[in-house]
Amino acid sequence: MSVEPVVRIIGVRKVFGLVAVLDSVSLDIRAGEAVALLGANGAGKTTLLKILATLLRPTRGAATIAGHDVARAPEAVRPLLGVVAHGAWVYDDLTARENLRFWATVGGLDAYADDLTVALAGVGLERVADARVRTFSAGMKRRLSLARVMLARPRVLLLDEPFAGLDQRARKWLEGRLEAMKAAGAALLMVTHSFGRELGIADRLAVLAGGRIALDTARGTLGPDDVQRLYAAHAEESA
Amino acid sequence: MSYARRALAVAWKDLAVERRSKETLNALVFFSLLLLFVFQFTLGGDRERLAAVLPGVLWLGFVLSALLALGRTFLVEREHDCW
Repeated sequence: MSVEPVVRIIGVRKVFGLVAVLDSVSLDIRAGEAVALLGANGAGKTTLLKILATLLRPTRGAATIAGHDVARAPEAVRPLLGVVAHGAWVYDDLTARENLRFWATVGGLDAYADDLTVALAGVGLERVADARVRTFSAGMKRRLSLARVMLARPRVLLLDEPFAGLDQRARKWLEGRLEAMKAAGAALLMVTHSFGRELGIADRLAVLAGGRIALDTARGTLGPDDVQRLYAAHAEESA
Repeated sequence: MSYARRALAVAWKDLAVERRSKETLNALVFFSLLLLFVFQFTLGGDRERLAAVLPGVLWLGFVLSALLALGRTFLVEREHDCW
């Protein structure tokens, strides 16, 4: 694990109208490290992800990915990022292979037919590579979304509720894939509401409350009950 | 990777999605029929008058249909949180 953080968030503030959703948020994530970001609805978790994904500009403060400022150099940041959001971000009327080819072209990747096949095989979709995504289940769409991300081999992976809507088997599968990406050196920031098994891949827990990081601690051997207790204490204290 | 190649990929994607779903095409056909219906009532049956305004009416039809199609093109991207 390298010493220099890949993701640096330094005093980020984001204001919508008169409401400050984020107020001086600071967080570092190193390569090969996974951070679970917990917080109540409206705490600003998705806003923070959008700032890192270069979709929103912070009102104040700065965030960098591998040394590139997300607001000043978004073109340099985007190739380093993979984003798995609530939605799968795939086109229902294209096939799985066409979706990957489209995203690879738009993302500026030199992906050949073999690369697409390997990426689809990596998520267990090689048999339905030429079927329209409209016929896929939610879990299969999430797999395709992950194949899109894996194709780019991102250094930083931003995940917004990645396990939402998945059954136990799909959750276990996704957990394995995320562990593999972490082992390959990717930095993961995972927004979640759950205190369950998805926290298993997290090395650190951060609680966002009152516009700030109210708690940032190593997960260590904390169980779901311990996490829930810590979350309640810090989230309510800061809210 | 050139800007043109990315633009072509987006155009190809839009055309492929439309060719398979025909969602916008169906809406445009009905909209065009509705326009013809409305213009018929507005302009009446005077052939000379119709010939004088026909080019303008045609372009109005193109512009309104294009606006409708353009709006629908952005819809799926908005659903994907692109902006």
